[in-house]
Amino acid sequence: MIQATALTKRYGPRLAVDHADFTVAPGKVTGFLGPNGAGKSTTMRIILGLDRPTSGGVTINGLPYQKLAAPLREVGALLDAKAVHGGRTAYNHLLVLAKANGLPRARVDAVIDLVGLHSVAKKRSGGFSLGMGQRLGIAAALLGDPGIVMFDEPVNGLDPEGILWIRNLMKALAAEGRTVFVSSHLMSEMALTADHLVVIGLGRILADEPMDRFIAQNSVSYVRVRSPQMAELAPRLAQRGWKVDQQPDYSVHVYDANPEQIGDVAGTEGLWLHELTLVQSSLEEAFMRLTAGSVEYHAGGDAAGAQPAEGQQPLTGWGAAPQGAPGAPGVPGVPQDTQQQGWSQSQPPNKERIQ
Amino acid sequence: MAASSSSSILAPVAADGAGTGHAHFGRLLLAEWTKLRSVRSTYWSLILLIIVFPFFCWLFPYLTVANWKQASATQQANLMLDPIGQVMAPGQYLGQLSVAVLGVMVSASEYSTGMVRSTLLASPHRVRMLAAKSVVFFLLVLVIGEVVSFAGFFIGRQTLKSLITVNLNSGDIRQVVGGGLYLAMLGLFALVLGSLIRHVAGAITGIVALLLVVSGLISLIPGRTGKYLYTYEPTNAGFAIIAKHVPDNFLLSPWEGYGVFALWTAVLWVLAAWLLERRDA
Amino acid sequence: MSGLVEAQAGSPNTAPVHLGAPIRRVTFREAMDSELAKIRSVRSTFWTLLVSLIVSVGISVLIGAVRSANWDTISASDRATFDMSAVVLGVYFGVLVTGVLGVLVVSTEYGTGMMRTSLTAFPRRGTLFIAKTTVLTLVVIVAGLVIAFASYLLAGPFYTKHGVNLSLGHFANLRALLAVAVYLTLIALMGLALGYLLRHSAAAISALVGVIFVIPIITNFLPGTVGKDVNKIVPSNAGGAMMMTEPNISGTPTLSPLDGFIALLIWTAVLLVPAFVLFRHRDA
Repeated sequence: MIQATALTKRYGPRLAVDHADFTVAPGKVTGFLGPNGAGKSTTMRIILGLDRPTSGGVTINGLPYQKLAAPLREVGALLDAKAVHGGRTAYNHLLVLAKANGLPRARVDAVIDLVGLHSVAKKRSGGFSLGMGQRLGIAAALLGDPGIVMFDEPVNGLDPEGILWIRNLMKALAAEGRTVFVSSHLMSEMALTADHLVVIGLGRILADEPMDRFIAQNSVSYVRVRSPQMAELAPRLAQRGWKVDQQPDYSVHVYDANPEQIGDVAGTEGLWLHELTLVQSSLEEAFMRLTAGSVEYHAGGDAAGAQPAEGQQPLTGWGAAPQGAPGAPGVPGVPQDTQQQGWSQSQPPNKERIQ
Repeated sequence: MAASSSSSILAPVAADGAGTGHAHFGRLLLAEWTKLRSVRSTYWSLILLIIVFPFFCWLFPYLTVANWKQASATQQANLMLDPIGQVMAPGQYLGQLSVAVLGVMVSASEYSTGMVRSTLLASPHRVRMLAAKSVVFFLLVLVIGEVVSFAGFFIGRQTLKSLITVNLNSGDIRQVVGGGLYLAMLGLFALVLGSLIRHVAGAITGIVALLLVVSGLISLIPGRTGKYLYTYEPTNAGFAIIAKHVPDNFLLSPWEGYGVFALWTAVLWVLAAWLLERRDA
Repeated sequence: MSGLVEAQAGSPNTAPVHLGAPIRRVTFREAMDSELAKIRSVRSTFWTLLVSLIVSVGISVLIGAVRSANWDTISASDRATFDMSAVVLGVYFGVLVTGVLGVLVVSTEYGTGMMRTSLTAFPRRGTLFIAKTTVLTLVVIVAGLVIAFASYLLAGPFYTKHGVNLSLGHFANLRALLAVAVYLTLIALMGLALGYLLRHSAAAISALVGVIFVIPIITNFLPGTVGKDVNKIVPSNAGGAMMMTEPNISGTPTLSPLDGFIALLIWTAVLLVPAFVLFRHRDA
């Protein structure tokens, strides 16, 4: 368990971490989210004792990092996969770390096999591809079979197979009762992996709660309804007090109701239904809404930082860009990446936005 | 998606004459100059040079004056025969180290930082890039080198006033101007070495060893062979440019010596350019 | 990649090894093991030691050969200066290379970011510092002894055949030879300290060059008794005094061998102590 209490870190005039309080509990995958420059890496470095906090503190199983008996056996971290000596082989790099904590050579072989680096174990790590370097970092984190695992952008550079593998790895580790703390920008991955979220913005903790509660609290879901008899159906729904939003493609979005209720109304009135879909907001949308005011480094041009209007799909931080917003990692280039029940399918682009 | 320019999310880049051969090299020069002036090691090394060179041009004459009574007849004669050379030599001998280190770093650190990949993406004509880097660095060191040479000369001359009046005749101007020329060529030599060795620590050690150790040790080798080796060793050859008369074991005139240094540098430059083209970045 | 395919498919083989053993507190011993593994697993260790050996022994042999060939042209007063320190003259140059090893074992960790990884594995910085220092000491002492005795065996004959007494039964000779290892080690430790202080390879190597080569050039010319005293205590001259069979044998005044050792020890401490303090307090 990781516990941060009023953690503060100041670099000169800049407050990188501002009285952060949060807990990372065992048995689940906790996602650590925040815009760039929010203080995620600083926080993780402080947890590992690399930087000294200005005030407050963070403990690992009740102790500060330096007081742990054998750190790698309690915490395994992947912060920066490039922080290795390029002239050393992967095997030797892991051996150096193993010896530092009294771990047997067998562990080095075990983690090398676990991450699939067996064929390049005796090659100099300087020649590794991005994915191989990443896997080396993951191997180092798992070397001591630790109860707490901390990853910063673990899927960086991994191929789809690797991404699936590490997602399952993190879930399996959490299922065993370990603490898994993952920092990532990849919303789609986070949504699939994390059970609990800690969100940080401009150094402050904005949220520390389970995933579904986070999404529910920070975004709006609705039911998309299509019917050939919409003219009759829509007023009936509105009569129930539900908010009904006409869409240009003749469907309606109904708020504050679930599909069952709407289906019952249609059935009672004898009206045809062609589509009844619960559209839940994505993690990305929830995240963007919550952190809209806390983004320090905006991409794009002018309209960055604008607050989204209630009920609208937010596109904060991307300026006046129409579809094809550039640069967002993991976004397939479609402005509204909403998640439907099951696997995500992009909605057709909102026709208003085409210029 | 409509591809008309008005709907492009990227602001169009003003493409004025891009890619024409003449403007191209000028851009490379600008790029190399920007690289050079935006790195702290450049400032550290050059500030060190500006401090060290004139300082030693003061210190050694000062000590010479202070120790004049204990000096041997040969030492006194040396000063009288070639005061300018005696003033310039200590500054040059010690100041050259910071130029050498900077020269090595300019090229070798591109490899250690991985910057070389960005550089070669921006200018895939590798030899032209090396040429641009060489020109920029040579000129920078030349300018600063001349400034410190003259500063050192005047300081040293002032310090020696009580012993000997030193005049700068037209024949002697070579000795002062040569200081800057030597430093510039040495900088280029170091840059080439860095490009060949591609490893900062190794190249620094190598060039320091060459300047401080090898050059001196060679003089111990006796006989005609020893004299040849001593004369044609690149840094010794170039160093002679600040002397009025060459020492006994030196077989060329000062300008010829500098020419040998330049020739060494040119040959190694060609080798570096060839390897640059052939090797993986 | 095949290992990966087998390993996943739903539930990866995390094989909770749960290292059955209870967690034992890591100590200096683990830090030493790790530092030893580090220094053994990079190529620069091998190359710097090899080059240092070649340079030190090579130069000693070269000078010895030249002197031996021209023995009759050397003045008697010069000949009187030849002792064990002449046999190991090359060490004055080889010391630069072992010094660079000292710099590199630290500066490359900072340069590559490995220092952060090391500190994560072993956060007790004081202990880690001491472990690295100890490992470097052991490595360079052994290398130094090899260099010393190789010089003795290969360059010695050039002097003994002209009657110079180099017998190891004479304690001063043996001491001078062993002092080579001590000199190389202390300069390597100064390199290590500079590496911690400056955290940058080129800067630390430059500083080391300044200390070993530039300072004595200046102090050699300082006037008066004060000047001579200052010249005696600079690191390279203090070290040189250790390797002489008796003080002042070379003509320029030097410290006694024991005083030389103490002076060099003090210089090393002057660099190591701030390095230690800063390492413990700075951000990684």
